[in-house]
Amino acid sequence: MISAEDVLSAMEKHTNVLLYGPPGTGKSYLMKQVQNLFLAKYSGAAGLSCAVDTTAERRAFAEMPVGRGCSRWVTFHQGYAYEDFVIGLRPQASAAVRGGVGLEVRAGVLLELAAQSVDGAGLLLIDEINRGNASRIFGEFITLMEPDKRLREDGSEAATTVAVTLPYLAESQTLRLESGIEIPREFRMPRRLYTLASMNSVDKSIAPIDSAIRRRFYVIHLHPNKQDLVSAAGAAGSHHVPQLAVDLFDELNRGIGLHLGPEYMLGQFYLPSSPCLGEMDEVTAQKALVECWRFKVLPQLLELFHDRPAVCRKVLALEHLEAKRSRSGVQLTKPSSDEEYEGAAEFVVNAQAEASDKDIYEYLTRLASRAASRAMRESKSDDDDGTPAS
Amino acid sequence: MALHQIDAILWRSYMTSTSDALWGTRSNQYYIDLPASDYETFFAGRAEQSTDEENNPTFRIRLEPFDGHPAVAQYQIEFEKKREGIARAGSWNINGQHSDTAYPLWKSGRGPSKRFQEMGLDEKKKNFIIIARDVEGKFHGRWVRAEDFDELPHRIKTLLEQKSAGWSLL
Repeated sequence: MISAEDVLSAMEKHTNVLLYGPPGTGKSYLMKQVQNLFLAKYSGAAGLSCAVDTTAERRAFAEMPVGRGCSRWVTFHQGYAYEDFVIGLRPQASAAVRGGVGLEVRAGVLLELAAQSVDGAGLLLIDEINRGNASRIFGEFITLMEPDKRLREDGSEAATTVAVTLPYLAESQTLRLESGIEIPREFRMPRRLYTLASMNSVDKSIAPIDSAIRRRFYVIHLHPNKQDLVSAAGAAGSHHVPQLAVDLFDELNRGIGLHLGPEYMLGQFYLPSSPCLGEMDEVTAQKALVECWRFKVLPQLLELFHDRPAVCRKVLALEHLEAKRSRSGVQLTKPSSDEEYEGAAEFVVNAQAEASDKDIYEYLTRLASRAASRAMRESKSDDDDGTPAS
Repeated sequence: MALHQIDAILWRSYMTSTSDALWGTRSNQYYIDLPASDYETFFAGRAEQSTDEENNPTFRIRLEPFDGHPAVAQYQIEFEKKREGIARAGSWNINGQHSDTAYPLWKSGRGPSKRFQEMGLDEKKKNFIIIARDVEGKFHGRWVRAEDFDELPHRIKTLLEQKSAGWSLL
């Protein structure tokens, strides 16, 4: 399980980190946790941080004042532009110009945060980085994302530091922020501006991220896994619903992984949380799991398999389980042989409203038991393999 | 004074085995032992990793030079993680810490105070070896004497009071 501490540590080492994984694996949640951790660490209640004196053998540890940490969160989308992110011209009411509206140069989120990070540390969080046109949004600042193109830790210039000339500013003009910070036209990126971005691996409708941007990020893959599912479902106490949920997701993810690929698997954040299933009584937990199936899991599965009904049928074991009168909330319609001959194809639709909670829970129990049975078979097979021939 | 901001520390309070190793009280004690923890994360990718002849993973980090008097040059320190299936599996050693090879700032005469042997066990346990990681990912080794314990920054003192050994972000 990747923790916020792991991500912060990776960020401090690699500067730019990308969290990559399917929906429901907790990317945004993790980003928020990292932001909290970052601010707690770099802001500090009293603006003090621990330090070691490299010249003192005794009493070498002390507190030192550090610049305040700052952080901004943005979500990229198709309308997000360089002018929002780096620098742009914005309309500004002005009596001095004809028409009463002039244009003023305004720093975007990245430039503003970078300027604030000169004496401290800054964290820029970019959710859904692949939903915007990242190369256009970053512009020439993509070069400055590389740690070795930045200023040194102490603010001095290294041989490899790159200065970018900010557009819209006249020679020797500076850009003054509301905080009073002046940004020079020749801009150099401070060392301690960190970036944490997220990218959904399922978003195939969105162009993959520009390779120039991708190579500047240290990528952390978040894959759904059983350990995270067990943790999210909560410990099974007096009832078995958490275990059932884990087996259910295990079964679904196996089918999804085999037919679509692991990047489409369902993450643990699909499961009910606060409280988790293990913290509920059995009846409430059953209802919560059914509700989760109806409104979160099923719509996602039908979206994933919308053009592959035969695979959907197989992964959900529709024919097998519905023959046992288990109703999944999915309605499968198969053409007759004549209709098939004429080109008709089977299809599935969301019919969850027509199935009762009891129906669905029974279906989920049967589907989950397939994972449990497989685990038992595999365990038995392992035992058999390990038995010496007599 | 040359202060470097630190973001994590690894520590081990005094144990008899520590002095056995560092001061050569027992000739066959060559290491400082650490309980199981994810020290790999503390190394933050800065350690050179390999395996020893017994197939235990080892991690080597460099302690930065000590610029005080007498100065200590950069020093390489090796951690060994006990692999599964053997005694003390999951626990760690800091290798090569015998009286003649130990990190100089931890050796007898530099680390503990002269009145160390007169201390009761509770006071002895307020002696710590510490490896601090600075925000640039460099490591610094120190010995904290019981006499100086109360002078530690509150955050570090709290961590040392909570557990006898481990590592933590600050």
